[in-house]
Amino acid sequence: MTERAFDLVVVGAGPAGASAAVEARRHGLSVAVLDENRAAGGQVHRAPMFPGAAVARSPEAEEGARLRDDLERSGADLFLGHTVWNVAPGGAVSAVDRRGASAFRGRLVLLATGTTEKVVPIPGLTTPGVIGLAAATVALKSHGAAPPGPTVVAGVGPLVFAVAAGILKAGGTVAAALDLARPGDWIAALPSLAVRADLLGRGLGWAMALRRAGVPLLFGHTVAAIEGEDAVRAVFVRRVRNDWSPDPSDPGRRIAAGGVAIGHGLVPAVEATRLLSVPHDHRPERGGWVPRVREDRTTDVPAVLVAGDCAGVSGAAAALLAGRLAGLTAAREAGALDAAAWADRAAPVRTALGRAERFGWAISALMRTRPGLVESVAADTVVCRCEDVTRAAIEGAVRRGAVHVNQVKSATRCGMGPCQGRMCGETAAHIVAAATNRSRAEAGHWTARTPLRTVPLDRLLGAYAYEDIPRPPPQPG
Amino acid sequence: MDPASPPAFARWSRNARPGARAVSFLVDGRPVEGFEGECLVVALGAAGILALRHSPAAGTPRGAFCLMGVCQECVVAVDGERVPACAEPVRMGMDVVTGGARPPVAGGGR
Repeated sequence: MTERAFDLVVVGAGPAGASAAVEARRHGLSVAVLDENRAAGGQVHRAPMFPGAAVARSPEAEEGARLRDDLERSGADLFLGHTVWNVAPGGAVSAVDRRGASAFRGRLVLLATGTTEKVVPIPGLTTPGVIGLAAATVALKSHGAAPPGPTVVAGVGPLVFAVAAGILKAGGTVAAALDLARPGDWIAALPSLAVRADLLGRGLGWAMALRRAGVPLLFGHTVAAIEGEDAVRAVFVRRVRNDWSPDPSDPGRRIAAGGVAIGHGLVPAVEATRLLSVPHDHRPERGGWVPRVREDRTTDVPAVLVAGDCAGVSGAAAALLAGRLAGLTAAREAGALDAAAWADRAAPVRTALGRAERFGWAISALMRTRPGLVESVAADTVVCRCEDVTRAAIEGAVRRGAVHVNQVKSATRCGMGPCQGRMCGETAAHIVAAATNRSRAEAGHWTARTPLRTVPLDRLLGAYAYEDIPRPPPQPG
Repeated sequence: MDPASPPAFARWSRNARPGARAVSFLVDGRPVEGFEGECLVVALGAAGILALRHSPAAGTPRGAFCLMGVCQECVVAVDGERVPACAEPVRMGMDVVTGGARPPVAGGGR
């Protein structure tokens, strides 16, 4: 298998990766962009999956089309549908797609791997018909589809109302929209949000569409449990206190439902940065563990750049600008731009990025998971859905001496399943921290190991005969 | 696997624009209709098939969750190959087999 060499290899074709590639190409670098999805755009600019998808028009959809267009015309080599399973020092990037394995090497590597959604577990979360809130946005943006209904949409912040309004527009039904936050929380954040009055206006639009459709908007509420076996039958909702723990004065009530879309914020996807030994800090206000990244997007690891939400949840506008900055830095590192020219071109981007980050961080602060939500996870609730490991099992491991999530993993299989600990990692660490009376950072993180994704072994190996395996001469006796 | 049919409202729904081509494919030996190129999870869900497998440890029914290829809950066999249904486009005549997990371990979860 031939290794394909480039000045810059970009992992992730979302707003950060795509804009970095376009910028680097402008300065004459050879660029490869890899993404496991069939189209560029990441999560925020998900392309329609097929020509007949009845997706709604939106500013994001149009921006996404423009981004994909820019990327196509940039001359970057696009490797879409390619799953990166390993990144190694020296710029080696290994991928696999339907046809088999491929190897890349970049003089510089940019990690723009985005985020995954965190869902704090509740009883019945694994019931078929329950999807993430981000999953619901994929369904609407990419598939023009509404999840099973009547859908209960729950989580924190504007995404809840965007999804609920989107489901209505796609022809679905919404049983209720639940926001853990209260209007007071939003009003308090208004000064920092005002810089994006356009988004505020859209938020109001969504809320009004829901009101007009008679959808109950329940502020300061959570889904406490989901009922049903092979499908959702009903949800149990409760009011929450300021720390998002259940309000004991509210007995709660049942709402009939056929599906649930629920999510509790984004967590930077740092598996690749960990694999390359980039140092990380635990910053809850940025979504959790984040790589240490300098303003120019370089890290302490030579030739490794990081941009976008994987460096800390900051929003799509910030990702776009951070990507441009990374592209400029790549050009500088590759010798296509001297330091003075870099400073000159980076200046307006850095200013715009600062503004965009402040807005993104204000939203993140509002959406930050408050302690009561995880604290109230019941003992028999499944935390690791791959392996059916409950909170009780995790705390049992702690009682037997575990103080770190990796010890809990060995003892219970929590985090050992096919999702590689992505779904349960945040909650498991929080439970370990609480049970050991230590900080979240001290509870630790999963050890980063290859492969970055589950990949079929036969596709990695490809077709080979026994004779193909290189056999060294026998060692002297 | 053959889950009890979920209530009529518990289905994915979608409209399609002109350009969407209806095709037939097999799910556990039974014919199902979908749109060519659409997400397999949505096509299955529109046909009322929400439970795609059972978890290996406790044997609870599972279906698509993250729709992004991360959670691995929607893995099914398509033409003999295990793939996440959320990333799989519907093709005419594709052979989908659900329920790829092993039967639950005696004693259930931990």
